[in-house]
Amino acid sequence: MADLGRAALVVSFGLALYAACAGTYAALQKRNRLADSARNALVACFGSTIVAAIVLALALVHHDFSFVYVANHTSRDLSTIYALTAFWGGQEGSLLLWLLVLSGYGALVVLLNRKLLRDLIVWVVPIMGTLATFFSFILVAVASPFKTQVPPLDGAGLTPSLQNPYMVAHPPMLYLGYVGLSVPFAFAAAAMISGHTDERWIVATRRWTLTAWMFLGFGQILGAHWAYIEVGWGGYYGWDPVENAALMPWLAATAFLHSVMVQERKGMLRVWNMILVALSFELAVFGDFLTRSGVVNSIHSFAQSPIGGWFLGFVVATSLFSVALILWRLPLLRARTKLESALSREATFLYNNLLFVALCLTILWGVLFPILTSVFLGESRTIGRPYYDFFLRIFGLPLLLLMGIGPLIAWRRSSARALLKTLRWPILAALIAGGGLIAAGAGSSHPGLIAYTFCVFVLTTIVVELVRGTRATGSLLQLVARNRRRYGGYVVHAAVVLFAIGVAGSSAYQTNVERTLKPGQSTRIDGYTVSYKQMQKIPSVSESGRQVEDRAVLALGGRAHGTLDTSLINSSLLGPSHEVGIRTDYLRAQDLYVILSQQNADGSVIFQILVKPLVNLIWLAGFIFLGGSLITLWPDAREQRRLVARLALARG
Amino acid sequence: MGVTGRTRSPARLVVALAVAGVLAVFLIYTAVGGSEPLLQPSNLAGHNGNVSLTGKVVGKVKGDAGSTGGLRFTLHNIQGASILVPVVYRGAVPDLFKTGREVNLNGHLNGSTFVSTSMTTKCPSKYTTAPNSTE
Repeated sequence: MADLGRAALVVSFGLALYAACAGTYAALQKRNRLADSARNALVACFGSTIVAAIVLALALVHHDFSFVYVANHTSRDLSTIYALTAFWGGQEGSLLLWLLVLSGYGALVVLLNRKLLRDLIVWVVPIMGTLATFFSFILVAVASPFKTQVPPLDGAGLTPSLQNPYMVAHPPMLYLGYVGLSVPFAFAAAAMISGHTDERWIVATRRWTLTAWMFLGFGQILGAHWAYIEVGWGGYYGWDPVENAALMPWLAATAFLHSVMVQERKGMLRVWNMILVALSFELAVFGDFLTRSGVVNSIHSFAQSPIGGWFLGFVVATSLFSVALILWRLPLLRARTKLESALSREATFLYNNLLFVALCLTILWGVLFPILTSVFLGESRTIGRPYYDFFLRIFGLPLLLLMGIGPLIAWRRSSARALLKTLRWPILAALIAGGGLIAAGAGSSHPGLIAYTFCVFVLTTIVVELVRGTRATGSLLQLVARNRRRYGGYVVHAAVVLFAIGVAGSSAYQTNVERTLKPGQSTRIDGYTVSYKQMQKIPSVSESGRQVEDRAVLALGGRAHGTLDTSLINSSLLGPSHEVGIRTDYLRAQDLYVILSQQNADGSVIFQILVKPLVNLIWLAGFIFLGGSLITLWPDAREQRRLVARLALARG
Repeated sequence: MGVTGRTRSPARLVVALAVAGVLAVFLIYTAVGGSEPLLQPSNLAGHNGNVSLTGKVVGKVKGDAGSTGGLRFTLHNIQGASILVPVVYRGAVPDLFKTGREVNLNGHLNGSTFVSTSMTTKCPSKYTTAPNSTE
């Protein structure tokens, strides 16, 4: 079986290399049949990678410990579903998943666009082929998942912290996001190489970019929820380099999704869009470099692997390639119109883009700071949470405000008077909300107060737009169906507002106290009464060794009723771990979150108790974000017609 | 509206100025304060202020993080040879803390002992080698 997997990967490498080399030659020499052959090779590369993936999946499910990878990441008592998730639980399997998704996207994109965008596809094939060549080479020569050994009696097992339902969805979603950003990159590069820099590549790749962006965004929300319920520190995002690695390309892609609208409509920001698409792609690969090289200090632990060097080389090479292409094609990328007014939709989109990129670069600077200080100052220095939180407010709050203004301001030129007239209801609602919040005591946190006021402003703009549109068409459903892109966008904006409310509420207004209680004692926090009833000792033996669970049973009163458990599990193999107790108050969307911090010799227990207002809106926002993204992605006949019209225009 | 080759869009100037301004703010903010040295046991000596220390827990773990004596253990570089740094930690013990784990500590040197009140255990999540080969 391992031989079949190895052979399939060698075939994938050969096919990808052929797609890259023959595709380039065919595109340069305008040889149509050879170009078709290269395209078919890219599709076949997906086929052979599927074979390799099936071989690894079967080996995992059947606990075939003659595969080193299987023995290192699974064990006999691991359930089938977690044995399968071990596919992306280790380095080599993750790389195979990357190649599988990359070749899958490549095959699909060239097959779907082979007729309408033939002039671009002839270059997309060698570019996607080159990317696939790199990953298949790594899998064949550097980190093969098909190394074999004399099978041991049992495997090492999957790290218990990864045996979690989120392990099924979170990593594949991130991969679908990271790798999906290769498609707009390949099209942008193809447009520049071919010299066909009209807007077709943007129209053709909008859905692909949105798909990648949707997966990357939703994958991060899943990861945040996983951390929130599992890690037991009361938070959901720690600005860790590995978390930032997923956030940075998402921010760059968000900027791109907005600025392409300006290019489609006005022919502006063409160089900027090329830069953004390259930045999104490079940051995605750079994220992979971060997770594999161990070059930065993260709470996530990595194997020190030589793969980091390969990835760094890949990032540098593709970055130089992108910069060279943009410089070469600058004359073709000149804007066809110019910005007429600082008060216009295109200007608002430009501000939005600058803020997104600024936030992205801030995070990148924070991630690179230890490396840069180590190289230039001789001592590695690190920047903590206050830095990130500070800049999130500086760039995030104006972004929130622009989300309300951008969709309503006129293209080309507007006036302050016209804008005030359009926004009179949202401004009024925001002022009333701000006043109400101050009266309700929310003025204790200025960023929180500003965030909430801006949220009300944006939500009102969305409601006003929906009411206005529904009046015109007679039905909300019809309104959304007629312009999925616009109204799907509003749904995504509504999700971002909910997300912002959740983040502001759970961070700016959270209560976090430490209480030492003996059995029978109670404490009151934010309307909740928490009574410590008793400690139960529950010994057990599992694959993680012998363990004793010290489970504190709490009785709740006030705003909540019933009991709540929180545990400290001491495992002989793994050390201590916490099981947090969470009671959700659905009416207030808030959580009572209790952590058993420590047991004292006198029988008392130190509990960390948090009340996190509105935190559940973050998870709700994730699903609304997914729904809004799907609305904008839904096939739209008008868009296809627009592509055909642009093709006719490009052919002159 | 057409644009000739010599015309410069004001958008470009706005972009350039904004990016430059933002970068300047980063540099000032991060250079003036907000950062602290990121060290390993081997290069900890001589640092008197607050630092971030990363290493691997070796030997026995003694004491109690909630008591005045604190939790006491020894830290070694994650890789390669290094001196052993005694650590006294007071605070919540993070998940999965034990001998052999890699940890991040924030604190300061008090004589030859590192005193800390903030600790995170590195999450043995993705891309680690198998547990039996690391421990």
